[in-house]
Amino acid sequence: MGMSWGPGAAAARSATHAAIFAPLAPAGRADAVAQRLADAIQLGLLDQGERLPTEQELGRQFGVATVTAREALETLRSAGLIETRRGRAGGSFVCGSGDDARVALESRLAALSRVELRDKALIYGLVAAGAAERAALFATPDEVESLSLLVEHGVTASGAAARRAENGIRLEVAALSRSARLVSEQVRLQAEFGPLLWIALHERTVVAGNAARHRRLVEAIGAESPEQARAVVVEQVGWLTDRLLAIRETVER
Amino acid sequence: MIAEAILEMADVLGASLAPVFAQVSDWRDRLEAVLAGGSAHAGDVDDAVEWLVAPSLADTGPAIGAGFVAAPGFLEDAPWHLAWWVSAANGVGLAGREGTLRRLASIEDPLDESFHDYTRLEWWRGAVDGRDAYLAGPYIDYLCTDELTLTLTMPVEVDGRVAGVVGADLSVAGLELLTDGVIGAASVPAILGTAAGRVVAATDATLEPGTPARRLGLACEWHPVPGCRGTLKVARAA
Repeated sequence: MGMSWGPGAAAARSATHAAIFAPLAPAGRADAVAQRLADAIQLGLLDQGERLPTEQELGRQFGVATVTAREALETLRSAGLIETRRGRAGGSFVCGSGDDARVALESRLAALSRVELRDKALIYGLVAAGAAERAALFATPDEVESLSLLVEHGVTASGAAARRAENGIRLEVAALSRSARLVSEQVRLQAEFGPLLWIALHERTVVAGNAARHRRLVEAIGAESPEQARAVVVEQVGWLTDRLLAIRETVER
Repeated sequence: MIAEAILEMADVLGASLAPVFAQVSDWRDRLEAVLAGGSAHAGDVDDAVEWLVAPSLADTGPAIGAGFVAAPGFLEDAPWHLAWWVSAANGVGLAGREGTLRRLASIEDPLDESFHDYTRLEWWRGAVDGRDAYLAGPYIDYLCTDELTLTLTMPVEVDGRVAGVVGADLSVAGLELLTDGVIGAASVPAILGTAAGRVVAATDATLEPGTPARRLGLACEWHPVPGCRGTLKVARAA
Protein backbone atom coordinates (compact mmCIF):
# COMPACT_ATOMS: atom_id res chain seq x y z
CA MET A 1 0.00 0.00 0.00
CA GLY A 2 2.79 2.28 -1.01
CA MET A 3 2.92 6.00 -0.74
CA SER A 4 5.49 6.22 -3.47
CA TRP A 5 3.32 7.58 -6.25
CA GLY A 6 2.52 10.91 -4.67
CA PRO A 7 4.68 13.93 -5.07
CA GLY A 8 7.10 12.15 -2.83
CA ALA A 9 8.99 14.59 -0.60
CA ALA A 10 6.77 13.61 2.34
CA ALA A 11 7.03 9.92 1.50
CA ALA A 12 10.79 10.25 1.27
CA ARG A 13 10.81 11.89 4.67
CA SER A 14 9.10 8.92 6.28
CA ALA A 15 11.40 6.40 4.64
CA THR A 16 14.34 8.51 5.69
CA HIS A 17 13.07 8.56 9.26
CA ALA A 18 13.05 4.77 9.18
CA ALA A 19 16.70 4.86 8.02
CA ILE A 20 17.67 7.41 10.66
CA PHE A 21 16.37 5.23 13.47
CA ALA A 22 17.57 1.86 12.10
CA PRO A 23 19.62 -0.37 14.45
CA LEU A 24 23.39 0.03 14.70
CA ALA A 25 26.53 -2.14 14.80
CA PRO A 26 27.95 -2.63 18.34
CA ALA A 27 31.25 -0.65 18.24
CA GLY A 28 31.18 2.90 19.64
CA ARG A 29 27.43 2.81 19.92
CA ALA A 30 26.85 6.09 21.73
CA ASP A 31 29.02 7.90 19.18
CA ALA A 32 27.23 6.17 16.32
CA VAL A 33 23.81 7.15 17.69
CA ALA A 34 24.97 10.73 18.17
CA GLN A 35 26.48 10.87 14.65
CA ARG A 36 23.35 9.45 13.01
CA LEU A 37 21.13 12.00 14.73
CA ALA A 38 23.58 14.85 14.14
CA ASP A 39 23.63 13.99 10.42
CA ALA A 40 19.85 13.99 10.29
CA ILE A 41 19.71 17.39 12.02
CA GLN A 42 22.40 18.85 9.78
CA LEU A 43 20.66 17.44 6.73
CA GLY A 44 17.46 19.18 7.74
CA LEU A 45 15.68 15.82 8.00
CA LEU A 46 14.83 16.47 11.62
CA ASP A 47 13.35 19.92 11.98
CA GLN A 48 14.03 22.78 14.32
CA GLY A 49 11.81 22.24 17.36
CA GLU A 50 11.07 18.60 16.49
CA ARG A 51 10.88 16.42 19.56
CA LEU A 52 13.15 13.39 19.61
CA PRO A 53 11.91 10.04 20.98
CA THR A 54 12.58 9.40 24.69
CA GLU A 55 15.83 7.72 25.83
CA GLN A 56 13.98 4.41 26.26
CA GLU A 57 12.35 4.71 22.84
CA LEU A 58 15.63 5.71 21.15
CA GLY A 59 17.35 2.77 22.82
CA ARG A 60 14.69 0.42 21.50
CA GLN A 61 14.73 1.83 17.96
CA PHE A 62 18.51 1.85 17.62
CA GLY A 63 18.84 -1.48 19.42
CA VAL A 64 21.10 -0.03 22.16
CA ALA A 65 20.83 0.28 25.96
CA THR A 66 18.94 3.25 27.41
CA VAL A 67 22.15 4.46 29.04
CA THR A 68 23.86 4.48 25.60
CA ALA A 69 21.02 6.56 24.16
CA ARG A 70 21.35 8.96 27.12
CA GLU A 71 25.08 9.32 26.43
CA ALA A 72 24.38 10.11 22.76
CA LEU A 73 21.81 12.77 23.69
CA GLU A 74 24.38 14.31 26.04
CA THR A 75 26.85 14.57 23.13
CA LEU A 76 24.21 16.27 20.96
CA ARG A 77 23.33 18.62 23.82
CA SER A 78 26.93 19.73 24.28
CA ALA A 79 27.23 20.21 20.52
CA GLY A 80 24.25 22.57 20.75
CA LEU A 81 22.14 20.47 18.38
CA ILE A 82 19.38 19.62 20.86
CA GLU A 83 18.03 21.09 24.09
CA THR A 84 16.27 19.27 26.87
CA ARG A 85 13.21 20.70 28.58
CA ARG A 86 11.80 19.38 31.86
CA GLY A 87 8.19 18.91 32.83
CA ARG A 88 5.08 17.49 31.26
CA ALA A 89 5.74 18.99 27.81
CA GLY A 90 9.42 18.16 28.24
CA GLY A 91 11.83 16.04 26.21
CA SER A 92 14.74 16.56 23.82
CA PHE A 93 14.13 19.05 21.02
CA VAL A 94 16.15 19.79 17.91
CA CYS A 95 17.53 23.31 18.20
CA GLY A 96 20.32 23.49 15.63
CA SER A 97 18.67 23.62 12.21
CA GLY A 98 20.21 22.34 9.00
CA ASP A 99 21.35 25.81 8.05
CA ASP A 100 22.91 26.57 11.43
CA ALA A 101 24.89 23.39 11.17
CA ARG A 102 26.86 24.44 8.10
CA VAL A 103 29.94 25.17 10.22
CA ALA A 104 29.84 21.70 11.78
CA LEU A 105 29.44 20.12 8.32
CA GLU A 106 32.30 22.14 6.91
CA SER A 107 34.65 20.99 9.64
CA ARG A 108 33.69 17.41 8.85
CA LEU A 109 34.39 18.14 5.19
CA ALA A 110 37.79 19.56 6.06
CA ALA A 111 38.63 16.50 8.16
CA LEU A 112 38.19 14.20 5.15
CA SER A 113 41.03 13.70 2.69
CA ARG A 114 40.33 14.45 -0.96
CA VAL A 115 40.88 10.76 -1.69
CA GLU A 116 38.18 9.70 0.79
CA LEU A 117 35.85 12.41 -0.44
CA ARG A 118 36.20 11.36 -4.08
CA ASP A 119 35.75 7.72 -3.13
CA LYS A 120 32.54 8.42 -1.20
CA ALA A 121 31.26 10.53 -4.10
CA LEU A 122 32.11 7.73 -6.53
CA ILE A 123 29.97 5.09 -4.81
CA TYR A 124 27.15 7.58 -4.24
CA GLY A 125 27.24 8.54 -7.92
CA LEU A 126 27.33 4.94 -9.13
CA VAL A 127 24.29 3.96 -7.08
CA ALA A 128 22.35 7.08 -8.05
CA ALA A 129 23.28 6.69 -11.73
CA GLY A 130 22.38 3.00 -11.68
CA ALA A 131 19.00 3.85 -10.17
CA ALA A 132 18.43 6.50 -12.87
CA GLU A 133 19.36 4.07 -15.64
CA ARG A 134 16.87 1.52 -14.34
CA ALA A 135 14.18 4.15 -13.78
CA ALA A 136 14.34 4.98 -17.50
CA LEU A 137 13.52 1.34 -18.26
CA PHE A 138 10.52 1.10 -15.94
CA ALA A 139 8.86 4.48 -15.45
CA THR A 140 5.41 5.16 -16.91
CA PRO A 141 4.28 8.66 -17.99
CA ASP A 142 2.34 9.04 -14.69
CA GLU A 143 5.45 8.39 -12.67
CA VAL A 144 7.54 10.76 -14.79
CA GLU A 145 4.90 13.42 -14.14
CA SER A 146 5.09 12.81 -10.35
CA LEU A 147 8.88 13.04 -10.44
CA SER A 148 8.70 16.24 -12.45
CA LEU A 149 6.36 17.80 -9.84
CA LEU A 150 8.83 16.85 -7.13
CA VAL A 151 11.70 18.47 -9.05
CA GLU A 152 9.74 21.67 -9.72
CA HIS A 153 8.70 21.79 -6.08
CA GLY A 154 12.33 21.68 -4.96
CA VAL A 155 13.69 24.10 -7.55
CA THR A 156 13.30 27.24 -5.48
CA ALA A 157 14.53 25.73 -2.21
CA SER A 158 17.98 26.32 -0.74
CA GLY A 159 19.85 25.18 2.36
CA ALA A 160 18.08 22.52 4.44
CA ALA A 161 14.97 22.59 2.21
CA ALA A 162 17.12 22.01 -0.90
CA ARG A 163 18.81 19.08 0.79
CA ARG A 164 15.40 17.62 1.69
CA ALA A 165 14.21 18.03 -1.91
CA GLU A 166 17.41 16.40 -3.17
CA ASN A 167 16.82 13.51 -0.76
CA GLY A 168 13.24 13.11 -1.98
CA ILE A 169 14.16 13.14 -5.67
CA ARG A 170 16.97 10.60 -5.27
CA LEU A 171 14.71 8.28 -3.28
CA GLU A 172 11.87 8.57 -5.81
CA VAL A 173 14.22 7.77 -8.70
CA ALA A 174 15.56 4.78 -6.74
CA ALA A 175 11.99 3.55 -6.19
CA LEU A 176 11.34 3.81 -9.94
CA SER A 177 14.23 1.38 -10.46
CA ARG A 178 11.95 -1.40 -9.09
CA SER A 179 14.81 -2.67 -6.92
CA ALA A 180 14.27 -2.86 -3.15
CA ARG A 181 18.01 -3.16 -2.54
CA LEU A 182 18.83 -0.13 -4.66
CA VAL A 183 16.30 1.86 -2.63
CA SER A 184 17.78 0.81 0.69
CA GLU A 185 21.34 1.41 -0.54
CA GLN A 186 20.35 4.85 -1.78
CA VAL A 187 18.76 5.66 1.60
CA ARG A 188 21.92 4.48 3.40
CA LEU A 189 24.19 6.57 1.17
CA GLN A 190 21.97 9.64 1.54
CA ALA A 191 22.35 9.34 5.30
CA GLU A 192 26.11 8.76 5.12
CA PHE A 193 27.31 11.05 2.35
CA GLY A 194 24.32 13.28 1.60
CA PRO A 195 25.04 15.75 4.42
CA LEU A 196 28.51 16.45 2.99
CA LEU A 197 27.60 16.49 -0.67
CA TRP A 198 24.80 18.91 -0.06
CA ILE A 199 26.99 21.51 1.61
CA ALA A 200 27.34 22.67 -1.97
CA LEU A 201 23.57 23.17 -2.19
CA HIS A 202 23.83 26.30 -0.10
CA GLU A 203 24.75 28.62 -2.96
CA ARG A 204 21.99 29.84 -5.26
CA THR A 205 23.91 29.22 -8.46
CA VAL A 206 24.64 25.63 -7.45
CA VAL A 207 21.00 25.04 -6.47
CA ALA A 208 19.94 26.35 -9.89
CA GLY A 209 22.53 24.24 -11.73
CA ASN A 210 21.45 21.19 -9.76
CA ALA A 211 17.78 21.79 -10.56
CA ALA A 212 18.61 22.10 -14.28
CA ARG A 213 20.32 18.70 -14.07
CA HIS A 214 17.30 17.18 -12.31
CA ARG A 215 15.12 18.49 -15.15
CA ARG A 216 17.42 16.84 -17.68
CA LEU A 217 17.14 13.62 -15.70
CA VAL A 218 13.34 13.74 -15.75
CA GLU A 219 13.53 14.37 -19.49
CA ALA A 220 15.84 11.39 -20.04
CA ILE A 221 13.62 9.09 -17.95
CA GLY A 222 10.56 10.37 -19.85
CA ALA A 223 12.34 9.70 -23.15
CA GLU A 224 13.00 6.12 -21.95
CA SER A 225 16.72 6.64 -22.46
CA PRO A 226 18.71 4.69 -19.85
CA GLU A 227 22.08 5.84 -21.27
CA GLN A 228 21.08 9.48 -21.09
CA ALA A 229 19.65 9.13 -17.56
CA ARG A 230 22.85 7.51 -16.33
CA ALA A 231 25.02 10.12 -18.02
CA VAL A 232 23.04 13.00 -16.49
CA VAL A 233 23.51 11.66 -12.95
CA VAL A 234 27.19 10.79 -13.39
CA GLU A 235 27.82 14.35 -14.61
CA GLN A 236 25.64 15.82 -11.84
CA VAL A 237 27.37 14.03 -8.98
CA GLY A 238 30.80 14.77 -10.47
CA TRP A 239 29.88 18.44 -10.77
CA LEU A 240 28.60 18.59 -7.16
CA THR A 241 31.77 16.84 -5.98
CA ASP A 242 33.91 19.44 -7.75
CA ARG A 243 31.95 22.21 -5.99
CA LEU A 244 32.49 20.38 -2.72
CA LEU A 245 36.23 20.04 -3.29
CA ALA A 246 36.35 23.76 -4.03
CA ILE A 247 34.50 24.56 -0.79
CA ARG A 248 36.86 22.26 1.09
CA GLU A 249 39.83 24.34 -0.08
CA THR A 250 38.30 27.51 1.37
CA VAL A 251 37.51 26.00 4.78
CA GLU A 252 39.95 26.93 7.59
CA ARG A 253 41.78 23.87 8.88
CA MET B 1 -6.96 -15.95 -32.25
CA ILE B 2 -6.04 -16.72 -28.66
CA ALA B 3 -4.03 -19.88 -28.38
CA GLU B 4 -5.73 -22.68 -26.50
CA ALA B 5 -2.66 -22.92 -24.27
CA ILE B 6 -3.09 -19.28 -23.16
CA LEU B 7 -6.72 -19.80 -22.19
CA GLU B 8 -5.72 -22.86 -20.22
CA MET B 9 -2.94 -20.97 -18.48
CA ALA B 10 -5.35 -18.18 -17.53
CA ASP B 11 -7.67 -20.73 -15.97
CA VAL B 12 -4.95 -22.34 -13.89
CA LEU B 13 -3.62 -18.96 -12.73
CA GLY B 14 -7.18 -17.95 -11.89
CA ALA B 15 -7.59 -21.02 -9.70
CA SER B 16 -4.66 -19.98 -7.51
CA LEU B 17 -5.12 -16.19 -7.57
CA ALA B 18 -8.91 -15.87 -7.36
CA PRO B 19 -9.04 -16.65 -3.60
CA VAL B 20 -7.06 -13.47 -2.86
CA PHE B 21 -9.56 -11.41 -4.84
CA ALA B 22 -12.50 -13.20 -3.24
CA GLN B 23 -11.04 -12.46 0.19
CA VAL B 24 -10.68 -8.72 -0.42
CA SER B 25 -14.13 -8.64 -2.00
CA ASP B 26 -15.54 -10.34 1.12
CA TRP B 27 -13.86 -7.74 3.36
CA ARG B 28 -15.41 -5.06 1.22
CA ASP B 29 -18.93 -6.52 1.59
CA ARG B 30 -18.55 -6.88 5.36
CA LEU B 31 -17.18 -3.37 5.79
CA GLU B 32 -19.98 -1.93 3.68
CA ALA B 33 -22.42 -3.69 6.03
CA VAL B 34 -20.63 -2.32 9.11
CA LEU B 35 -20.55 1.21 7.71
CA ALA B 36 -24.11 1.17 6.35
CA GLY B 37 -25.44 2.23 9.76
CA GLY B 38 -23.76 5.62 9.28
CA SER B 39 -21.87 7.76 11.86
CA ALA B 40 -18.81 5.51 11.95
CA HIS B 41 -15.98 6.21 14.37
CA ALA B 42 -12.32 5.45 13.64
CA GLY B 43 -11.98 3.14 16.65
CA ASP B 44 -14.92 0.96 15.57
CA VAL B 45 -13.60 0.78 12.02
CA ASP B 46 -10.13 -0.19 13.31
CA ASP B 47 -11.58 -3.05 15.38
CA ALA B 48 -13.62 -4.35 12.45
CA VAL B 49 -10.73 -4.14 10.00
CA GLU B 50 -8.26 -5.83 12.33
CA TRP B 51 -10.73 -8.63 12.96
CA LEU B 52 -11.18 -9.11 9.20
CA VAL B 53 -7.59 -8.93 7.97
CA ALA B 54 -5.47 -10.34 10.81
CA PRO B 55 -6.20 -14.03 10.06
CA SER B 56 -5.18 -13.64 6.39
CA LEU B 57 -1.96 -11.91 7.34
CA ALA B 58 -1.12 -14.70 9.78
CA ASP B 59 -1.25 -17.20 6.88
CA THR B 60 1.70 -17.87 4.61
CA GLY B 61 -0.25 -16.54 1.61
CA PRO B 62 0.99 -13.79 -0.71
CA ALA B 63 -0.69 -10.98 1.31
CA ILE B 64 1.89 -9.09 3.39
CA GLY B 65 -0.32 -6.14 4.30
CA ALA B 66 -4.05 -5.40 4.28
CA GLY B 67 -6.61 -2.96 5.57
CA PHE B 68 -8.96 -0.09 4.94
CA VAL B 69 -8.23 3.53 4.05
CA ALA B 70 -11.06 6.01 4.65
CA ALA B 71 -12.24 8.63 2.17
CA PRO B 72 -11.35 12.09 3.51
CA GLY B 73 -14.17 13.32 5.75
CA PHE B 74 -16.06 10.03 5.84
CA LEU B 75 -15.28 9.23 9.46
CA GLU B 76 -16.68 11.73 11.96
CA ASP B 77 -13.69 11.78 14.29
CA ALA B 78 -10.83 11.25 11.81
CA PRO B 79 -10.87 13.26 8.57
CA TRP B 80 -7.97 11.17 7.21
CA HIS B 81 -7.57 7.62 8.40
CA LEU B 82 -5.59 4.48 7.59
CA ALA B 83 -6.39 1.17 9.27
CA TRP B 84 -3.65 -0.97 7.72
CA TRP B 85 -1.94 -4.04 9.17
CA VAL B 86 1.33 -5.60 8.03
CA SER B 87 2.32 -9.26 8.41
CA ALA B 88 5.29 -10.78 10.23
CA ALA B 89 6.90 -11.42 6.82
CA ASN B 90 6.67 -7.71 5.99
CA GLY B 91 10.10 -6.15 6.58
CA VAL B 92 9.13 -2.49 6.62
CA GLY B 93 10.87 -0.44 9.33
CA LEU B 94 12.51 -3.52 10.82
CA ALA B 95 15.99 -3.18 9.28
CA GLY B 96 16.49 -6.93 9.32
CA ARG B 97 14.94 -7.63 12.73
CA GLU B 98 12.23 -10.28 13.24
CA GLY B 99 8.75 -9.02 12.46
CA THR B 100 5.32 -9.60 13.96
CA LEU B 101 1.79 -8.82 12.82
CA ARG B 102 1.51 -5.08 13.52
CA ARG B 103 -0.33 -1.95 12.55
CA LEU B 104 1.22 0.41 10.03
CA ALA B 105 2.04 3.74 11.67
CA SER B 106 0.65 6.69 9.71
CA ILE B 107 0.44 10.45 9.95
CA GLU B 108 -3.17 11.61 9.66
CA ASP B 109 -2.72 15.29 10.43
CA PRO B 110 -2.75 17.19 7.10
CA LEU B 111 -0.69 19.97 8.69
CA ASP B 112 2.17 17.62 9.55
CA GLU B 113 5.07 17.75 7.10
CA SER B 114 5.15 13.95 6.79
CA PHE B 115 1.44 13.77 5.92
CA HIS B 116 0.55 12.03 2.64
CA ASP B 117 -2.52 12.90 0.64
CA TYR B 118 -3.27 9.28 -0.21
CA THR B 119 -6.07 10.22 -2.59
CA ARG B 120 -3.40 11.15 -5.14
CA LEU B 121 -1.81 7.73 -5.10
CA GLU B 122 -2.26 5.13 -7.81
CA TRP B 123 -3.86 2.48 -5.57
CA TRP B 124 -6.46 5.01 -4.41
CA ARG B 125 -7.22 6.65 -7.75
CA GLY B 126 -7.44 3.33 -9.59
CA ALA B 127 -10.12 1.90 -7.31
CA VAL B 128 -12.06 5.12 -6.70
CA ASP B 129 -12.00 6.60 -10.23
CA GLY B 130 -12.83 3.25 -11.83
CA ARG B 131 -15.28 2.28 -9.03
CA ASP B 132 -13.91 -1.22 -9.33
CA ALA B 133 -11.05 -3.50 -8.31
CA TYR B 134 -7.62 -2.11 -9.22
CA LEU B 135 -4.17 -3.68 -9.14
CA ALA B 136 -1.30 -1.19 -8.73
CA GLY B 137 2.33 -2.11 -9.39
CA PRO B 138 4.58 -4.05 -9.29
CA TYR B 139 6.38 -1.19 -7.54
CA ILE B 140 8.79 -0.73 -4.64
CA ASP B 141 6.71 0.18 -1.65
CA TYR B 142 9.34 1.87 0.51
CA LEU B 143 6.91 2.89 3.23
CA CYS B 144 4.82 -0.17 3.75
CA THR B 145 6.57 -3.33 2.53
CA ASP B 146 10.14 -2.43 1.46
CA GLU B 147 9.86 -4.87 -1.41
CA LEU B 148 8.43 -5.34 -4.89
CA THR B 149 4.69 -5.21 -4.34
CA LEU B 150 1.31 -5.38 -6.04
CA THR B 151 -1.49 -3.52 -4.24
CA LEU B 152 -5.05 -4.71 -4.84
CA THR B 153 -7.73 -2.19 -3.86
CA MET B 154 -11.52 -2.11 -4.13
CA PRO B 155 -13.83 0.83 -3.40
CA VAL B 156 -16.06 0.60 -0.30
CA GLU B 157 -19.37 2.32 -0.99
CA VAL B 158 -22.04 3.48 1.42
CA ASP B 159 -25.25 5.01 0.01
CA GLY B 160 -23.65 5.37 -3.41
CA ARG B 161 -20.75 7.36 -1.97
CA VAL B 162 -17.15 6.14 -1.66
CA ALA B 163 -16.38 5.55 2.03
CA GLY B 164 -12.82 4.43 1.33
CA VAL B 165 -10.87 1.57 -0.18
CA VAL B 166 -10.16 -1.87 1.15
CA GLY B 167 -7.15 -3.76 -0.07
CA ALA B 168 -4.15 -6.04 0.26
CA ASP B 169 -0.45 -5.76 -0.52
CA LEU B 170 0.88 -8.81 -2.35
CA SER B 171 4.55 -9.70 -2.40
CA VAL B 172 5.71 -10.23 -6.00
CA ALA B 173 8.36 -12.64 -4.67
CA GLY B 174 5.55 -14.55 -2.92
CA LEU B 175 3.43 -14.60 -6.08
CA GLU B 176 6.38 -16.02 -7.98
CA LEU B 177 5.88 -19.25 -6.03
CA LEU B 178 2.23 -19.36 -7.12
CA THR B 179 2.85 -18.50 -10.76
CA ASP B 180 6.08 -20.46 -11.35
CA GLY B 181 4.40 -23.83 -11.53
CA VAL B 182 1.97 -22.62 -14.18
CA ILE B 183 4.28 -20.40 -16.16
CA GLY B 184 7.18 -22.83 -16.01
CA ALA B 185 4.96 -25.56 -17.47
CA ALA B 186 3.65 -23.35 -20.30
CA SER B 187 3.85 -24.82 -23.80
CA VAL B 188 3.89 -21.35 -25.43
CA PRO B 189 5.75 -18.18 -24.40
CA ALA B 190 3.38 -16.11 -22.27
CA ILE B 191 3.17 -13.01 -20.10
CA LEU B 192 1.02 -12.33 -17.04
CA GLY B 193 0.35 -8.60 -16.77
CA THR B 194 -1.84 -6.09 -14.92
CA ALA B 195 -4.72 -4.30 -16.62
CA ALA B 196 -2.79 -1.10 -15.90
CA GLY B 197 -0.08 -2.46 -18.20
CA ARG B 198 2.80 -3.90 -16.21
CA VAL B 199 4.46 -7.29 -16.40
CA VAL B 200 3.92 -9.48 -13.30
CA ALA B 201 5.49 -12.72 -14.51
CA ALA B 202 6.59 -14.26 -17.81
CA THR B 203 7.81 -17.53 -19.26
CA ASP B 204 10.89 -15.59 -20.35
CA ALA B 205 12.70 -15.35 -17.00
CA THR B 206 14.78 -12.42 -18.24
CA LEU B 207 11.66 -10.26 -18.44
CA GLU B 208 11.47 -8.37 -15.14
CA PRO B 209 8.28 -7.77 -13.16
CA GLY B 210 7.30 -4.11 -13.39
CA THR B 211 8.34 -3.67 -17.03
CA PRO B 212 5.73 -1.55 -18.86
CA ALA B 213 3.96 -4.03 -21.16
CA ARG B 214 3.61 -1.52 -23.99
CA ARG B 215 7.40 -1.51 -24.35
CA LEU B 216 7.27 -5.17 -25.37
CA GLY B 217 5.36 -4.32 -28.53
CA LEU B 218 2.99 -7.28 -28.21
CA ALA B 219 0.67 -7.55 -31.15
CA CYS B 220 -1.63 -10.22 -29.75
CA GLU B 221 -4.73 -10.22 -27.61
CA TRP B 222 -4.82 -10.26 -23.81
CA HIS B 223 -7.04 -12.74 -22.06
CA PRO B 224 -8.41 -11.98 -18.56
CA VAL B 225 -7.45 -14.28 -15.68
CA PRO B 226 -10.77 -15.64 -14.29
CA GLY B 227 -11.73 -14.49 -10.80
CA CYS B 228 -9.37 -11.51 -10.81
CA ARG B 229 -11.96 -8.88 -11.69
CA GLY B 230 -10.27 -7.87 -14.89
CA THR B 231 -7.11 -6.67 -13.16
CA LEU B 232 -4.84 -9.46 -14.42
CA LYS B 233 -4.47 -10.86 -17.92
CA VAL B 234 -2.38 -13.23 -19.96
CA ALA B 235 -1.00 -12.82 -23.46
CA ARG B 236 1.13 -14.87 -25.76
CA ALA B 237 4.62 -13.41 -25.89
CA ALA B 238 6.40 -12.79 -29.17
